[in-house]
Amino acid sequence: MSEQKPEIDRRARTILGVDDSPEMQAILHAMITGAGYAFLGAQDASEALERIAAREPFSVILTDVQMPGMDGFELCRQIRKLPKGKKVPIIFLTVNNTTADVEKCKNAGGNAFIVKPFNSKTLVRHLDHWSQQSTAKPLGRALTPGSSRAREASATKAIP
Amino acid sequence: MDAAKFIALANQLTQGLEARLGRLAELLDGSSWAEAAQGAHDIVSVAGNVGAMHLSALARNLERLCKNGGDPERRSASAALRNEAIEAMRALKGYQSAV
Repeated sequence: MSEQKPEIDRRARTILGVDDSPEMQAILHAMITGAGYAFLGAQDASEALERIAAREPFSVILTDVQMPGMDGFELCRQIRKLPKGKKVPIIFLTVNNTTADVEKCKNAGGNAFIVKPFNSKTLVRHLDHWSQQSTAKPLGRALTPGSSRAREASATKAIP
Repeated sequence: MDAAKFIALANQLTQGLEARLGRLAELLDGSSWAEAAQGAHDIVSVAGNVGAMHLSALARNLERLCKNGGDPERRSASAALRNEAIEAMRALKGYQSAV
């Protein structure tokens, strides 16, 4: 089955991916740039906060949960304190999907979670959905007419 | 993704996974359960994303046991993971050779 043609201009949107694993960074880079989005990586929470402070808001932030030093939940709380981070969609990448974990994601201020391992289709579906919810302005390109947020919303998994 | 990039990514992931499995084996041999739990945790996602789903599932189980299990269960899970790791690495390297 061929991949559905994107309704949004992914090239104008930048995704921040926070994960301490070089392998997961490589996977995120390949999947995200392969789908046409721009990608910036951060190896830990402090690097992520530096990147957020240094540029225009990201369209979506993906973060691992279990990282050395500051974990993904605390990173999310810190991002929400920043002027640029109050509304940016934050998606947790986690190997755990118990009720308690989902509750932690929600309490930290996250928007959704993706259970690892994941495939490109799942990741891109989330990015397409959440990048349209983002307040970050696409860089110089408008949305392609005809996108359906209702349809996208049914295909993604938000934190209840 | 073009073929050269794909092969480079596959190489990076396979080598990274192999290194992680080696470190995990050392931690298990030393009964360093807390660190082994972290090592197993990291393998869950990397192994799963290269298609080694059984290895990923065994790593998930081992992570749980390293946190909450008893020694016999940990040893058993460790042995199962090591056996599967050999098979998974053989399959991954075979796939890379064929690409």
